[in-house]
Amino acid sequence: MLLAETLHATNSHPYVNSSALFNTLVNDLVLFVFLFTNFLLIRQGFNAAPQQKLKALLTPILGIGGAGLVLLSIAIGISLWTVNTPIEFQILAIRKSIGLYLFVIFLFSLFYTYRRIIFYIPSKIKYQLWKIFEILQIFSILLIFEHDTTFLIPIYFKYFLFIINLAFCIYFSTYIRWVAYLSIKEKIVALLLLFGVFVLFVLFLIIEGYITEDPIELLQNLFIFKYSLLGMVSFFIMIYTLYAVLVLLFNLPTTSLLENSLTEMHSIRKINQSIEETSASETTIRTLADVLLKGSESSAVWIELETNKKIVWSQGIQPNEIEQIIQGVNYRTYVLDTKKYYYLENLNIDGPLSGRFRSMLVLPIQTNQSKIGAAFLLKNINSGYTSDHLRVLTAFADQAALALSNMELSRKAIVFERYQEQLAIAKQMQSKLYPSSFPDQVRLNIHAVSHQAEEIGGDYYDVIESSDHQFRILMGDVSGKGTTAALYMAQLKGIFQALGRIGMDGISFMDMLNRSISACLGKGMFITAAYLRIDIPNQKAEHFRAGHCPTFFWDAKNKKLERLEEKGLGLGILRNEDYREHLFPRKLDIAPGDRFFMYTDGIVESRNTEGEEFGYERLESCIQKNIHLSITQLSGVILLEVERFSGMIHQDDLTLMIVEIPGNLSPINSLYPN
Amino acid sequence: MPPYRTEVNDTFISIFFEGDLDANSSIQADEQLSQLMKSGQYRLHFDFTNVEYISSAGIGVFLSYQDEISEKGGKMVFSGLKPRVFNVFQLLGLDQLLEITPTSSEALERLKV
Repeated sequence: MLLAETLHATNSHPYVNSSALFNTLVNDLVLFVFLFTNFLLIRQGFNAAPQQKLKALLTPILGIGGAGLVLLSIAIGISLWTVNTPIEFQILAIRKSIGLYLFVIFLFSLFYTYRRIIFYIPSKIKYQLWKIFEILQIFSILLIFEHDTTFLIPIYFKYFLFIINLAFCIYFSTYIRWVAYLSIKEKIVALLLLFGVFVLFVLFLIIEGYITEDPIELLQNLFIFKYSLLGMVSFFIMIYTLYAVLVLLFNLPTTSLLENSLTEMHSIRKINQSIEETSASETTIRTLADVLLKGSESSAVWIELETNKKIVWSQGIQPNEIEQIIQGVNYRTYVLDTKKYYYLENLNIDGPLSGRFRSMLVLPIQTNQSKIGAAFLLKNINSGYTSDHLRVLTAFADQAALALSNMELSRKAIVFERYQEQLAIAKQMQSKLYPSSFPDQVRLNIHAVSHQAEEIGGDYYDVIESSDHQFRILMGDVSGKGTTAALYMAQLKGIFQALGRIGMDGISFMDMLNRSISACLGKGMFITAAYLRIDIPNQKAEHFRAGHCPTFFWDAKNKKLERLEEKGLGLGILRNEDYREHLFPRKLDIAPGDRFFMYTDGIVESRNTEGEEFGYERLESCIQKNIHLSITQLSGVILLEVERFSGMIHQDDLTLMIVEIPGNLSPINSLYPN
Repeated sequence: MPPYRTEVNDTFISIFFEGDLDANSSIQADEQLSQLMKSGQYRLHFDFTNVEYISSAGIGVFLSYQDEISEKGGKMVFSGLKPRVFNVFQLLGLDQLLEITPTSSEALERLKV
């Protein structure tokens, strides 16, 4: 373009001959290639990844751009040389082409810098329109070939391009929203920068002689710019710069408001961060006090908590001064009950404090579910708080309340989790209280299963083979469920293990058991138990029912199932020697194949959806029907039946133990005669 | 849950229990009995006519006051137990230990001085 200008100048020079047309065309072509490559390369440079951006930008500017410059200079040189131009024209031409080159870089860089700020808030449609806009710019390079002497480009093409370009420029100029995100300082900097761009632009136009006195020519120079792409791009830059400058100028007075809301957002973020970082409520309270103080330009703040009814944080005020201000009024409870702030526009206090504090605002710190506390704000002027303050401060207090109540929730969750852990440990411990293996299965077949309704429970069974080659079997059920029952069950185990190893007759054993356990049991607690002593060498058994579900005895020889229903009082009900009078032993002769079914009430009291109990009859008939099965299989069948009846839910602790007298007793007899 | 209905007689107090006496509802019964003990009432008639079910925790409540009552020379008599409820008492061997009468009038008879 400037080249063409130069050529134009040379053409009008008296020494010029008619071969200028050819030279013009060559120059136009060089110019076209130069502009086109530069445009694309700078575009590519701006689109590069951030870490490669600098390199991508310097390459076209220094390398290809420079090469283009040399090429251009040579082209000018050749064209001027052939027409035998004086040296000063050649120097002028080279200076102009350097100017052009710098301007191109400046312009295109600016073009893509503007693109970045326009796309600060990206959208798909914007991207697509921008692409069209770019194509339009490239297209406009073709205008280089427009000359008075050629008819390659129709005249209206120029105006057509101009009008479309104008529309795009106006469209993209509306994307000025980034202004709102700038702080007042940044806005001033932006304004200066944009103004600088504008000045540079105008300066260039003056230097290059585009500012003419003829207004029509000036307009043409400015807007259509004979030189196509550059004209179009600079047109866009001019419009956008001007518009941005105006918007920035008009935005300056309202920036403080916008900045306030940015500070608010930042403050809320600060409160949230205090939670993420520390999870200590103290930090959140301090942060809240801080943002309240700054957000309202108050002179003092203090925060009271509902949990300990104390001031947990104060700033700008002493505790004795607080006393003077509130004068015994419980504002905290008031704001928490009404769920509204309390505002004292004119604080009436006597003494030196009256000068420092003239208005007070009390904000509740609460969520929908929990009352946390109240924040007190003081200002040194009357009516110091506007509705805007209230809105913002309430938002802060709410946010902090949410944070604090979340903290409380997570603290509870942790405690609960710890409790669960402890319970799991207790469960593991309790499982060790049950015998892991029974005495020699050759002499006695035993199978036991136990389900607890909760993690731990109060059912207990144990087997001891004592020194006189007798088996002592206990099935117990501590009243109640859960942890308490489990602790008593553990004590029962200890007592049984100790007493069971001393050779004692049945009644003495039960009496001792009752007395020992009574010493441990709490008021109103008792244990029901079934105690079975099996004397295999003598083929005898003795059974006691201490308030427990009757044991079933299967007489294999007579194929008879009997409930051992002798009277008997539960352990711990009568806590003295009178207990002996409530014991009724049942003595039995045993033979191989005989079975004892001991269980807890969880089995017979299992209820179905109609509230009906499983009961003794169902248990009885289930045993009778399946008596041919092994004891392991049989206990499985019984539990299955109970589950099917009650719908799989065990409401109570449930234990079942089956004891079978083994088939061949002779080896034992020979081992332990009598 | 409202307290169980009581009826004050010259020499004793009747308490009319209702519904299920399980681990939860027996807390209410416990509180009420504890109140009576505090006010020095040791002659008690427990009417079980409307009790449908009693758990071991429920039984425990009555047992926990038994010693105190007998120490103070008091007495507690149960009446109107449904078979299902009586079975629980019986299973535990309490039918031997506690005074249980089929009807209310028999209970009142036993509590008269």
